[in-house]
Amino acid sequence: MKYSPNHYAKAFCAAVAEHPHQENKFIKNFADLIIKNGNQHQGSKILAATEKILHETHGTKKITFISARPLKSLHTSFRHFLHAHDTIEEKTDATLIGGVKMIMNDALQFDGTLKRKVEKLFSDQ
Amino acid sequence: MSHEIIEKLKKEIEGFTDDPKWESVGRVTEAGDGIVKFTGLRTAMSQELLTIETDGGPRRAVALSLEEETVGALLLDDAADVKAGDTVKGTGEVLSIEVGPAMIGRVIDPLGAPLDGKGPIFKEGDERKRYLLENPSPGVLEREPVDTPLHTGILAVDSMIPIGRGQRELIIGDRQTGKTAVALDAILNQKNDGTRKTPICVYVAIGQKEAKIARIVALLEKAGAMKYTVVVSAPGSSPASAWYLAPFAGCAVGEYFRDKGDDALVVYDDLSKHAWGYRQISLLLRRPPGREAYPGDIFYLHSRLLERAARLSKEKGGGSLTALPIIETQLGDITAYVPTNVISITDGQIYLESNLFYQGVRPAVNVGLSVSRVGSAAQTKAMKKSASGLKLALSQFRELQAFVQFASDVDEATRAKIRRGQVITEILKQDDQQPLPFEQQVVLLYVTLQDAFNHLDPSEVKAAKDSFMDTIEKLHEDDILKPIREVNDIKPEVEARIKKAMENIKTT
Repeated sequence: MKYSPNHYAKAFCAAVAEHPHQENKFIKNFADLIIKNGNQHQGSKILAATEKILHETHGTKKITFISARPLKSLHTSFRHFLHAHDTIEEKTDATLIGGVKMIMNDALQFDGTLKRKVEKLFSDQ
Repeated sequence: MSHEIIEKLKKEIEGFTDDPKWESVGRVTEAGDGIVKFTGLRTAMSQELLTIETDGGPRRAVALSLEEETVGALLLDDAADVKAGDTVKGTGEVLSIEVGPAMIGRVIDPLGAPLDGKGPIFKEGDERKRYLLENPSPGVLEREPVDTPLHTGILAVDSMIPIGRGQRELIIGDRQTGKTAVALDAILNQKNDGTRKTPICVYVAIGQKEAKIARIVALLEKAGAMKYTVVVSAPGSSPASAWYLAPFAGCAVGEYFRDKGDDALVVYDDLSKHAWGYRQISLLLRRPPGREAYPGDIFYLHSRLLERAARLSKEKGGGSLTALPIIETQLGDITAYVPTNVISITDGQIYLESNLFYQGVRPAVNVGLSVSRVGSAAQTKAMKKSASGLKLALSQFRELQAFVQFASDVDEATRAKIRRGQVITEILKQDDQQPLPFEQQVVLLYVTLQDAFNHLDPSEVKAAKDSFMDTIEKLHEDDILKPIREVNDIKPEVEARIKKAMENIKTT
């Protein structure tokens, strides 16, 4: 039977929720199960789905910062706005020219990049 | 010059205001074959226009499948740059097209962009409006019965399968039987109908060869029909999204004129390819396939499109939208899935048969299987009078056709019926792109059913007919054709003149 990444993620999160003290053992079993079912190629999707469900369950957030160049103090600057279990990810994308884009839980975005401003400037003409 | 440009840019930059906000976004998880699937963007609406931010710039898509965890969308632009991980934003707008009188004479794509190289459709100050591609159809109380004829200029159709303004009449047949020719003649003839409003015609080309579309546009231009025609083009080289959206775009253009109180005619050429395109999209969206691998809502696809053709009540402006959908059958099978669907939706069909075509009967209309459910309600009094008995004569001839080869062995009455049927068959033959104005059809049918040509050999009928009609056109415009055209009836004095003119045929 074919399982979608969401099926795997929901099953794993439900198992961990029922037996939180066996989390490490379940992580290993989870990985073995994916390999046994031949779904390794969906690994990244399964991981993303699991992360999403865990964030939803615990009420935590995943914030992705994308900037044109690596920003040294970004992590520490925003840390005190977030909860202890929130995840921060930093990426660089030179095409943004300058500024920062923040994406929360892959669902909300705040785009303060220079690229967006230039695009808006030319589209308003 | 460069100083002016710099100053202009400087002003734009100084006056630029920015107000970034938190926006709901999605992330592409799968992209390919013109379809994208993304997660997030929980506020996406069905048919909402989306923007996908790719490395090559923004790309447009329309949300089609709203599933539990993902949304399936159809790409409207070039799919090459879209990849997994790209951001998707909603626009809050449902897919629509800008329509207006400036579209007349233009060739556009299903999203309203011009394809004819004549520049933008709309200029500053042009009247225009945004029409949804998926507009709801008019309700029962907003409609009126169909009672105004839409003359196609084709004798066999206008006499026995009359079409009215606001009707849906299907043109169905195998490939190369003249379906497009019938539709084009209907468009060309609209300028011949001087006493009624010329309907705005919309020709929707779905999945056709670009050379064929170019030929059709050239034909319409040469005949002066582009003065009241819009062409919506989704050629074979365009993606399935264009094939799927083209009929809805054409309908939206027609609806604009309908809602203004004008008459409009939309030709969908053809809906079989439209069904194929929708099947492709549905299969790629992993919707469960049904009969012949079509999705379960293939009937609804065409019914909601064709229900938008209507004759509106006077309170709603009195306009009309007539639809001529075309369906291509395989090996004459009108019992297949999509043909039977569309036959049950429309108000009649014109069935074109390959056998008749090869026998030289063109237009190859099978009068027995063709029907117009509106019928004589959409015929003028003149046409009703002159065509009365035509269908009966032809059906009697069809029954006796097996005896044609043994004509010398049958009784006089049977021989007379056979001869009459052969003559009528010859009279009903008509060249391509030669639509006949309705008043000329009335005169021709009148003299035919008065047996004016029965003394001639079937091979001589065409020449006699052409000569007679030439005479009528040149010598009797004011005393025969004009009165019929103006009052839509044959008055006794006009009838007398026709009988007198008819005597010349019998003496030749």
